[in-house]
Amino acid sequence: MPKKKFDVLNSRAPRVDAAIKATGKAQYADDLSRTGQLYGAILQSPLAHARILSIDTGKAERLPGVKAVITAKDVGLTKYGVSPARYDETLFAHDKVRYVGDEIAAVAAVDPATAQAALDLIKVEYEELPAVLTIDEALADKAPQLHDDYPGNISAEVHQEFGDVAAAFKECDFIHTHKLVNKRQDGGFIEPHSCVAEYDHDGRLTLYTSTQVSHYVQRTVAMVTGIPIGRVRVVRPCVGGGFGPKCEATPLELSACFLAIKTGSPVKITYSREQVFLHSRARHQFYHEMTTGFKKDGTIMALAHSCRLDGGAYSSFGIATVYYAGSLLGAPYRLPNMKYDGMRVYTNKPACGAQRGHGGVAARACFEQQLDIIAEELKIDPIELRMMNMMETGDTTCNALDMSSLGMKECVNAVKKGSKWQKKKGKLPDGKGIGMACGFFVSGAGYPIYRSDTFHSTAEIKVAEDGGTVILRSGIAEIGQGANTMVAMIAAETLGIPLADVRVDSGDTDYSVDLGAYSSRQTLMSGHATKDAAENVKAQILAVVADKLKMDVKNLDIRNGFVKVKGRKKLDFAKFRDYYRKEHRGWPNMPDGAELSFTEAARMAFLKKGTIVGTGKYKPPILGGKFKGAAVGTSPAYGGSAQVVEVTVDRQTGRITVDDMTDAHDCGLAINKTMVEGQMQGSLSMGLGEALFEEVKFDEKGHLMTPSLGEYRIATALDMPNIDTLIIESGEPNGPFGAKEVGEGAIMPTIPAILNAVYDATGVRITELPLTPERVLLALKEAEAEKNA
Amino acid sequence: MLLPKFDYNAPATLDEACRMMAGYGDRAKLLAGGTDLLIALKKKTVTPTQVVALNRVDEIKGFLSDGDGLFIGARTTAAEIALSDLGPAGQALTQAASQVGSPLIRNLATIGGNLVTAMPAADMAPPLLALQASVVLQRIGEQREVLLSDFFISPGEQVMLPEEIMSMIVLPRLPEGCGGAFEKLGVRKALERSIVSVAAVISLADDGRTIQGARIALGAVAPTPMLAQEAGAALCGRKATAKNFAVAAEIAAREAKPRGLRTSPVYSRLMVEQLTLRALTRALEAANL
Amino acid sequence: MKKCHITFQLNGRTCEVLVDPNQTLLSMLREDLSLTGTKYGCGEGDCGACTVLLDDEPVNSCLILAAQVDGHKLTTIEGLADGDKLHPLQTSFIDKGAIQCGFCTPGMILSAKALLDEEPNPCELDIRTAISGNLCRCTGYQKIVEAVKAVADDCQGEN
Ligand code: FES
Ligand code: FES
Repeated sequence: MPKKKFDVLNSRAPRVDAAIKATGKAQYADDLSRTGQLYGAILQSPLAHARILSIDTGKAERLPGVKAVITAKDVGLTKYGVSPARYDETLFAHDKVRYVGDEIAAVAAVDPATAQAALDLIKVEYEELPAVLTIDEALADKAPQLHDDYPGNISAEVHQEFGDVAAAFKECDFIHTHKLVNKRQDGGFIEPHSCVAEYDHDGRLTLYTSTQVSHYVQRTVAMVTGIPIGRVRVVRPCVGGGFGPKCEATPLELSACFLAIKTGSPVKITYSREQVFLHSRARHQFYHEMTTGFKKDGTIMALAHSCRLDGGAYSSFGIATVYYAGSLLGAPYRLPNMKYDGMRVYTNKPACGAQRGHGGVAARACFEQQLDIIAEELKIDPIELRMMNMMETGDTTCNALDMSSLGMKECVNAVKKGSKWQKKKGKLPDGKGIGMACGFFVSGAGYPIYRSDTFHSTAEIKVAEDGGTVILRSGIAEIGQGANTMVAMIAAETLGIPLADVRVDSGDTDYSVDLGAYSSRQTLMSGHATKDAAENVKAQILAVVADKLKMDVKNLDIRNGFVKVKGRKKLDFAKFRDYYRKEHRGWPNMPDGAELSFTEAARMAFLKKGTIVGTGKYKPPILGGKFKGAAVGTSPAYGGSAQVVEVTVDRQTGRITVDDMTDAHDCGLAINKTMVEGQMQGSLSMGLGEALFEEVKFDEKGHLMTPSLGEYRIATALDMPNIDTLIIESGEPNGPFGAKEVGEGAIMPTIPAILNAVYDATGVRITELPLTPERVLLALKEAEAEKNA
Repeated sequence: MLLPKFDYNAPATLDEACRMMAGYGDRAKLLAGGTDLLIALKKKTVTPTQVVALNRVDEIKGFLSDGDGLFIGARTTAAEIALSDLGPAGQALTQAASQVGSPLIRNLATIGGNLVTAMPAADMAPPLLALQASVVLQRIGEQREVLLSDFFISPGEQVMLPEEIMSMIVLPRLPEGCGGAFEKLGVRKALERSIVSVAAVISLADDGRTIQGARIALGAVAPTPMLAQEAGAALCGRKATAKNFAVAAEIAAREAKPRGLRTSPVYSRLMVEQLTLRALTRALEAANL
Repeated sequence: MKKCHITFQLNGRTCEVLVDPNQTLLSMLREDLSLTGTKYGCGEGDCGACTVLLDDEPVNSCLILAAQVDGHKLTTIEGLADGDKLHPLQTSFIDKGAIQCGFCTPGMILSAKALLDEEPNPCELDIRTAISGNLCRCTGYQKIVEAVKAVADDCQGEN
């Protein structure tokens, strides 16, 4: 099939927000400042688990310059969280604190120094309680309990079976069991959370905040403050990265709102880097155990999988996480039988939540390592083994996920060729290794996080009265991934006008409902809503043109900024052009070509109908199976990726260098090729960091030991190799113009590909992350000792 | 991350700075590159009421050499040292300087500051120990020279009096035929505190093979940067061979006193051995150039 | 605490400010001068989001007291464009897709500028080293390196 020709899409157009970001003009939340603005600060628990006996804020309140001090007494005890089924947080702790960093009070003062000084004056009496810091401690008999409502410190439990795993194992020639444990991660975005809240005396609250989901923040703020949702407006300025942890309403935002209400003045609060780590809501620590059964010929028969998640003190996105950790193993391979037992456990540490590749990254690392083990056992090339079992477009997984498009085989072939796999696999010198893995991810969660039939995205397009600018208003979250550019390109393509004529105003809950930037949903879902709105606008304009110029609207189209006519009939618009020119007497750049310009057409429509506004909307169809938890993992489409990684292992120090990465990703259609590559490269650098360096650590009292970007190490420019990025476009029938996700799927194969490459280099399997020099060297030594024994 | 309250002083000369420090005593903190002090201030681990900034005191910046040796002003930055030519032995120091933190940090961090903070993992300390450096400490009307090997006491602690200012680092002139090298192991390739670092300086006899003297110094494997004296001594009079280097490396590993804070003592010692071997090998190459 | 009166060159113009002695350069730029292109990412020298050029050298402005810049020359991201003409590095970052969230971008561009001013024809390792104090969580650095390289290649063409 010849490729459809696009005028705007599938190009390398520069991002619509690049110039303001390159010049330092882009405004992030902490860059905002309002007249009369106060500064907030939050008092956080120094203890991991303690009963609060008393809180005395008197001295703090009397400190000159302090405008408000609030505690649970002032803000109430409304429970909130992410999943309504697990609302287990209150803004401030009132009876007890559950982790070092739990919020107790907040102050607003005339400057940051006074706010800080006020915190020091708040006296809290605690009765320290024994804390549980590991899963084992939390699950032990008579373990101290975090939440009365969730006995046994169990935050969530999942038991699922698809097919008959026990029966399938009986037919297997090989059964292999394998474990893997990763470490708690941090989002590592460079912009700490920040917000400014403003309350007018008519009862309207406006919150400018660094968030991935204005809509969820708006709902939580409305619920916790009790202000009707119509009077709560959440506006997202530029955001300096999110990657998951900025998906939910934070104590920072809620505190700022309450302080603004109480003082009647704008209040700004910004987390310090340490507070970002304390707030966390990033990747869990997962303990995976997987048993996989195979036939001699390489057919995968069954997977029995158990996983325990160290969740921290609250649930956050964790309910979804524990489901994702199981459900995303259903593909991209044909796996007829799958059993999953997952458990998320409360511990006295900051809460974990969602992070790029939500729930699936460690599971994928374990499973893809296991595939390599079995390939070796069967003496089949690991790529062959994967290809034999690979799903194709049209397949459905055992847990009822539909592969409406799946370019996995194309991805694998692309990296095989791109990396010169056959020349290298098994042929590299000792200490050098090559490894591969595949991955797979949703293209937007099939259901919102609260149960609802809501549209997942709505959008509004307004045409300026002279047609020169088209303004797209939407609630989408531009957090760096390029969402604004993506919708601008879709709007321009659909309307048939140049990209430069579209302006995007986004992230404001006044504009539309959009579930924001998580689960890799913006391109597919917000892209659809945008397309719908643009089609609506185009139809309105063409209808007027057809009417005025006595044409059949079916024969009219707009492309590249001009009205095009199908068939032989010519468009006779001379009269209207004269009129337009008169209207604009003295103006430069008057239309004068042989074709009717979009500007003229839009003007014609305006004169007839007033301001032209079109709206669009999208929600996915009903998806998935009927079993408990079937919603998690469903999506209108799935992205896939394959990666090959080459490493050098220094056998004397254990230090690993990643020399080369080849990545292929099936994004359906690349709306913007440069941005797709950017997502791939960024995902791989996060995966590389998680594989090699990243670990959030605590001491035995639950204090954070890695509160800085010096201690918590994300990759520097010197740690990253160049990546060969290969875009695969399978054409997704459910996606706008065939597009689907790239933001998260690309991270899936990175860790296992590195693990498999390290094995290829050394002959040693490492099952604990990160691969620090010490861990690697000690594993090598142990293997050596075993060999000699 | 607010700083405690203090007054800011910016003396123009070393003399003026000394007088200020004499007046303020331990109420004052000296500010050179600021890469450590500002973090300590933000964390409130130090709360001086006076900060005496040395950034106008240009007399303690730069390099000067005479027949006796090389003088490096304490305010000379890591970036300046990394770019300097200090000869085949001195390259242990230039290599260390070029691996401090990041380019941004190197433009600020000073050699004096790197020593005064007395951190076990200070990058420039091992090469300076291996180069037999001493430091010049100044107070009003008085100046003393302390061997760097006598300078450090414990993590964060050294022999300086509150009113003293480090003005320069003295590197004695080394005989012909010397070579040096520095090895650092970190997790990342930049922005890293050493897991282990090793500097080695050897001097060869005229035959180009016999070791006349060797000094090996270790970072991050003891409460202070330290000399592995026995390891160095074991090489004296020996031939510069891989086998002898391996013996010395093993001794160095034994001499290390890792505290097991960031990595296990076992791993730290293994790394001392490995990096010593690498540093000696490269020092030999440098000496033979 | 006695305030400090300081005078310095800021983006080519003389600037006089009364600062608190315990104020960082970063805070003075952002709060007193509203130059918010310089970012706070960590406050401890670990991320480079606060990079400025002090006497043409890139440094972490979170680790410098405002008072220390008295008598010196300072360049921030706001000083790079020449009127409506962007600096070649800015253009290149835009064209090559080197910008995602943009939070690291001002610091990256300034570190890259300092490199190119010293070494108009750097190799890839030079570029990666020069930006190794500037963390970017979004891009994986590749397009940033390409953007810097493209400007270097351009200067070569001109020579
Ligand atoms: S804010 Fe200065 S280095 Fe991060
Ligand atoms: S573009 Fe987001 S941190 Fe670099």
